[in-house]
Amino acid sequence: MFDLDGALRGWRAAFVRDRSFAVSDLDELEDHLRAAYEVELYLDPRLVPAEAFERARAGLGAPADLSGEFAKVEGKAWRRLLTAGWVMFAVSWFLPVHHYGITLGQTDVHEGILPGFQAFLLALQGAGGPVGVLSALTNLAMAATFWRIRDAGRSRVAVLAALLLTSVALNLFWLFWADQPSDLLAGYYAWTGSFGIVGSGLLLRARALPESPSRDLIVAR
Amino acid sequence: MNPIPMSKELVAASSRPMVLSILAGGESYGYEILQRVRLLSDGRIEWSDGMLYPVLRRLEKDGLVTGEWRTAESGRRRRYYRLSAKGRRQLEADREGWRAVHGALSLTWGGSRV
Repeated sequence: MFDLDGALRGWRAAFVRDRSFAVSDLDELEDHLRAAYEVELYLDPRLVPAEAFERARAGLGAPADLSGEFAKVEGKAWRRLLTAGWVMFAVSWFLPVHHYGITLGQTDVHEGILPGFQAFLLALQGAGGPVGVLSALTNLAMAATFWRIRDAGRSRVAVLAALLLTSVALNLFWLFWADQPSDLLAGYYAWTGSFGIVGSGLLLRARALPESPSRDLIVAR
Repeated sequence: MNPIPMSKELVAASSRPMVLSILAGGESYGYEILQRVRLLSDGRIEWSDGMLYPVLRRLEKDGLVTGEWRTAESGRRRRYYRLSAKGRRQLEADREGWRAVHGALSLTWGGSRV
């Protein structure tokens, strides 16, 4: 006996694996598939249900065929945000972050400007106290976004988004630490801003992803 | 009638006025819209089922249609679409454009202007 719900779960699992479809997309496509299946059976009563389902499924298309079209509509704003944020983050390591510092062989702190990578090392050594160390460690959260983020599930993406957006708040600490906020330079703002941009991109991505494949299959029933 | 082979570009260009025109007649949902396209074209235009949904997403994103989840008579949840005021204006503009194209092509091909 043909198990329509089981067949739909299998069909849906393939689309969930593609990760290009929001839950509402899958709900709508499933409604279409059910309607097409019923019409196939109605139009050709000699069809066995499995054949009718296969015809309906083939008519709708494979995940790879549809994902590109859906992606064009969504514009993949999250990817653009991630790319922009990552570039800004990378550049910030070489931009000056503070008016005072010993950089590139200079000996007078009042002549140099502190670039991002050196500021990171100083913060890690405790120049900003415990909060400064924590702030330096927020770079680890950013680094975690480099690892296979496209294939990451919703929970991992959401946790990273929360971490990065929290990091923005933590990294604002340096505004209060500096004698004058105007002492902070472009590198600092680019670095802090990159967390906000990547965090926002991940938040967009998390909202579009199903909560988890297993839960999504339950919804499909 | 059998479907006419149509270029991807022509299908893409005609999809918006087609969907907006169908929704101008009242709200509808994905599967029904596809059936209407087949019926209106006497089977000569046949869209692949999956292509409609990205088109609906685009129209919704552009504010030309609004979508709403409701429970259908079958008891299943279904997304219904209706034309927005902006969509109605867009349909008027599309209609003018397509009439101009159709009129010019008809004359070129020896027919009379519609």
